Amino acid sequence: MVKPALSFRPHVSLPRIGALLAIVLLAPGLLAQNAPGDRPPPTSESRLAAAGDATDHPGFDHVIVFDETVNHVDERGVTETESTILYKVLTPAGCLGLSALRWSYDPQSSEVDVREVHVLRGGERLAVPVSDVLTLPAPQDLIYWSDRVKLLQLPRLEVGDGIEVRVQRMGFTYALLEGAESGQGGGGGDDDDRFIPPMPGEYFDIVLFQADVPTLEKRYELHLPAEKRLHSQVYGGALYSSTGYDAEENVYAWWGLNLPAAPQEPRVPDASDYVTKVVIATVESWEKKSRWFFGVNDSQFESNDEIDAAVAQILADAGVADGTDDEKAEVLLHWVAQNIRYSGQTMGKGEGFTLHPADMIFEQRSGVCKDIAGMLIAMMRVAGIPTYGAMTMAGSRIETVPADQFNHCVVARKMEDGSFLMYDPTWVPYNNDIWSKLETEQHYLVGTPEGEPLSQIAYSPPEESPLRVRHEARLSADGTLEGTMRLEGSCALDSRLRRIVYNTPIDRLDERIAQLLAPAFPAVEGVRVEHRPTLDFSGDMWIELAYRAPGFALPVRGALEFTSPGMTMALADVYLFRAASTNWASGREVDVFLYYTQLLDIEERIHLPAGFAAAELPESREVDETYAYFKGRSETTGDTLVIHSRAEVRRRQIPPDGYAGFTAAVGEARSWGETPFRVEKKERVEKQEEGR
Amino acid sequence: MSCTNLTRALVAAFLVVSSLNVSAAPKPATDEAEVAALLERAGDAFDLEREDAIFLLDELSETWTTDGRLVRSIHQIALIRTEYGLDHYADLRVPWDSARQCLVLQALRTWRPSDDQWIDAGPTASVETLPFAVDRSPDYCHLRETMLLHDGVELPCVMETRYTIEDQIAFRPGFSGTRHLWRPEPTVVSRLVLGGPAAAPPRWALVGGVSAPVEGRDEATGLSTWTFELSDVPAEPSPASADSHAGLPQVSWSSWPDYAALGRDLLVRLDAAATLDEALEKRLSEHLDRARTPLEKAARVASLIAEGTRFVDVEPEWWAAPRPAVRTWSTAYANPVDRTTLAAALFRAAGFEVELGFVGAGFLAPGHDLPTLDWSDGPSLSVGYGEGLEAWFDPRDASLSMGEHAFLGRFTWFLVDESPTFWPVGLQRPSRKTLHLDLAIDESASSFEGSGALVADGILSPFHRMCGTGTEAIDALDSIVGSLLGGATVTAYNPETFDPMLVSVCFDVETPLGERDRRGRLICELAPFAELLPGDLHEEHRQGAVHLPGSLEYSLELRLDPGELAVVRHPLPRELENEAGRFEIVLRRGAKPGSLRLIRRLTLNKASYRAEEWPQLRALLLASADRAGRVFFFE
Repeated sequence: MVKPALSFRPHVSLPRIGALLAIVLLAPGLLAQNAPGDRPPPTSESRLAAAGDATDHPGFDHVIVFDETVNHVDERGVTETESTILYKVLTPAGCLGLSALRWSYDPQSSEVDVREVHVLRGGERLAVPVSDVLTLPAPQDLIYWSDRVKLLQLPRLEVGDGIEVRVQRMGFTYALLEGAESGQGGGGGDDDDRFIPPMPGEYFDIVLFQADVPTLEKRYELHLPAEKRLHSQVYGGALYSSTGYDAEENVYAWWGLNLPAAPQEPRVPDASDYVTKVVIATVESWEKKSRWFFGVNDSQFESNDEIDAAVAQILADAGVADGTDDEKAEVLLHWVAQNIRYSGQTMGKGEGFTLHPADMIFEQRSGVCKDIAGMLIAMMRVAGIPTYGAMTMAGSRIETVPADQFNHCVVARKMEDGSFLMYDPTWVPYNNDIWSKLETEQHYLVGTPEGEPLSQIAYSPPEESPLRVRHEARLSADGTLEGTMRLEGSCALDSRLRRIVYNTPIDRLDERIAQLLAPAFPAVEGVRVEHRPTLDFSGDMWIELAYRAPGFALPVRGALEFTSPGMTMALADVYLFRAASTNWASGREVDVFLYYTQLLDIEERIHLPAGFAAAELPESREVDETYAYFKGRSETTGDTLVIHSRAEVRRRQIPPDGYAGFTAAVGEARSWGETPFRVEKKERVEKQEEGR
Repeated sequence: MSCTNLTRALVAAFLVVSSLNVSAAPKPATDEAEVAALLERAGDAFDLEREDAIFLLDELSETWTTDGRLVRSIHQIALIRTEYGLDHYADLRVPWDSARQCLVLQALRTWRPSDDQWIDAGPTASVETLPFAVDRSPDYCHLRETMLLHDGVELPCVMETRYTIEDQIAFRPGFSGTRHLWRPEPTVVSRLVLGGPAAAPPRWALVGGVSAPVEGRDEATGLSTWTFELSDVPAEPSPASADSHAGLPQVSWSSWPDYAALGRDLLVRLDAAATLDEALEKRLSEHLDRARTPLEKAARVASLIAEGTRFVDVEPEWWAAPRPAVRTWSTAYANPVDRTTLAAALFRAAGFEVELGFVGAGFLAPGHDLPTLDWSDGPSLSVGYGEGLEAWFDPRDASLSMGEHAFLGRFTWFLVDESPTFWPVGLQRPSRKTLHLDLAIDESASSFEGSGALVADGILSPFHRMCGTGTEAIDALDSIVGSLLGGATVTAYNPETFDPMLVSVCFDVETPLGERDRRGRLICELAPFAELLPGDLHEEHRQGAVHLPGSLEYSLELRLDPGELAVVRHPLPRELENEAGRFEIVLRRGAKPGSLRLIRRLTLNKASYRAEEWPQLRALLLASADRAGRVFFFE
């Protein structure tokens, strides 16, 4: 099973030939016979010497000099990987960061065996006893399955040290959950059976070729039984590749040289969206994957008397017992979203892709996305609504190769015309939507007996997620502003507004809203707040507030100057206008990922003090770009100054070539937020107008 | 539903389930009738509609066995009403030490009113995890956090949690602690039970109206018990701060006869671990090569620790032996105790005298009367070199600061002291920071340029920030001047007086003019006084007091020559005086035509302001923050 010799051989495109060549080249006596100009095969020591130092890799504390994985997949789909990785320490901080090594795994479906660890220093190889490896429970939060970690303390490192690590892994990791590692064996009996993947006989992988530090050479080699066929594609850059075969197996390899670190920028999508990667799968098609997902999970949605009774009660309480399927589905969705909280306990084997039985979740009232989805499927089926489980990828793209690029589980309701209407109970707690607008344009795969193709959620324009601010205020001659404000949000912004309320202690809501207002009104007082109850999903969320703001307007030579309170508030709060919550750099390498589109629509009516008029009516530039829009303007109606501000974020994911336009719109919004409005005694205004 | 109705409904529902399910409940769990009574009391004492959660029972029991082990039991029953309550009080993360202790879960269950059930959590609801903080620190991987997950939760519900953490070996030389009898939410019954041999009872100190304990006896162990109990305890005042709990009900206890005994024990442990081997001595020697002054030498020791160890932010059991300094260096990471130990070894080897010390976490340090360390922020080191150097090493960031700044206005205990002592600011008047700026606009250079002077003393003295061997002084001046005049850069300086408690320094300064606004005006905006002052000014009312290190006075005097530019707007004179202090803006014409002289001054009379005094204090701070008093427009 294990072929360790292969992991140390030099790299050539055809592995078996390469291995033979390596043996020949490494044979004593032959090395000296290299022809002039020929280079001897690289060793860890020679790679380390050629890897450069901190000046060659500015900003990095270590580099990955060499990273090779050789993966043997057997006919059952069981994988056995041999990995060799060589780090080089570049700085004192690198010595600290690499002082202990860590490996994560789920013992229910995989095993990690740390074979050898050496510190390479000054031409010496210092062996680190792998008998010192500690096996420990993993740190866990929200998902409490049975993950483990292995830890190994290294001796005190020095700048220039190399760390060479050889690890063998058996089994697989599989998750419908981002960051989780888990899986299930194919059944009881032989201990090795736990390594059999969820789709027995099938294999997939998503291999990222960029890390958070530079990688000087990375290689991934896959050995498949001869009868297995493979889909594969490289994304996000170029890689070298080779294919070979013999009677027993096909051998595929991909490798890259001098791979830069993945860019570190704020608000990026999952790394798999932008780093160089290869996606691999043996499964024939998405349709086959769909049938498999249906098959392994459909029995989990069985109801029992308690669930039946609960469904009847929930529908009756909501007055929709005789309602339409739309009404029933929505009521059940919100019940599940609010009552099955996100906290995942293990159910043992099958974690990661098998949805927990509905009766178990109904009793525990908690679970991860798949369990929450499973609960809704069970309840909707009880209500006579045909539904299925579906997989999706929150926060990242799914490529066309039918590999398991999923981290999230949702619900698909089959409509009469055969289409699917998607529900996500995990992402809509405290949201009156049925599918969060933070998940638009996501790919998904519904599990059905017939098999479905990969589908995609539709684009959501900014008008679907507006934040409308209506501000009515009266300005006094002493600069005090007193008024009311109504914030109303739909879809994505409905959830943001509800979050402001439910994340705040009941008796602190006035202070929380005062904090929201403070950027516009530092001396705010007398704040009073009303809002739609956070559990009332019959309409969009609104918050109404009343306030008094002494010293709001700045006295300037008999005039009063001030900026738009609504814009100042929105620009300062991530819940109100996410696009402005980041200080965007001048350039961008990676997509901006904001999760949702948004319309910001603010109308402020400020009644001026008696005898005052607006000295001028500022207007912003209109920035109308592909990915974002901004326009601010003002007008007067009688003694009222009306300020209009409108921003649109038109895509949730903005590519680098759209970044300049996006930041221009955000920049104009900020500039508009700082634009002074000036009101003066009417006679002076009239005089000025005459002067013009 | 009104408060009364809600209470009635909950209690009524509860009593129904009590009669149905009494036999189903596990024995260590609370009797249902008792829970029902607590619920009823909660409804009588508090407005349930205004609370996210209420602790019906919050009990800590700490028993010191005859063989020197600690047995700690927690018992909590909470009514959870809202999502906020659920997020904060369900799914407990319980820390313990698997090398020395065991954790036994006795009750973990949820009462659900909608279907009148007690849901006992299943075996998968108790999950042993590794703390995230130590997941790359093998030497600390004996630490654990067990998640206690409540099953069957819906809102509202009642959650009961009961567990015991018991020492498996006797590793503590003493027994001490502090228990706050209040929580962020109201508590119906808050209880502390101390247990131990009758012959050696711990001493305790009571704060905030806690009554003397009821003495009893645990028949199972034969040990004496002392029970402190409060009923209907209101929630912690908000906003919370390091000092907001001062004066609230709490009990401190200690088995140490005095601080001297505690100090001797700590010192023995420190000395045993704070030794170097040959290799580390050599490393230190290389690092100190060419260090010219004691301060430079000390700074290099601190930098060796900062660069050589990754800080692991975990609460160590101080009583457990600190790791040997050589091991800490070898592993390249350290918690506060181990970093202090390593620092002691290195500083001593470099020829410094060190003293282990503890500084109060807040200004008031309640509970410091008894020999405990709970009032402190953890260990630190005083580093001395004859008469010439007195510095303070903080293991959290491996920083070295000069002088006494870290102690001022706080309680501090060095092991040589008999007990923690308050370290006064030492002035009979407010600490002062006065900044003079004399600026002229150089439009051709697009900047203000000029000179200035800083005079600061007491707690506001920047001595500790300016001492150093590099650019500390000018960096500190940049920061101080820049904090009041954005973008200002100090280009040259000369100290007049440079003392830990008084710094007087003159300097040259320039600051860019910035861009013109949409109306074509140049804007010069001064910043409000902020150092050491509370920042949450949006809070119109507070429930808790505000504590400062002492009375404070800030002053900015700006002489401004606008040159060819016209001053379109300037701050207006203002005066506000109340019981909290005084704020004033004085504006005068300068000698040169067009020039201005602006004085902004804030005086806070006291170190502590009660919650009722917040509106006065806020008014002063808002006056300082008011843009109308800070901004100039030029055309």
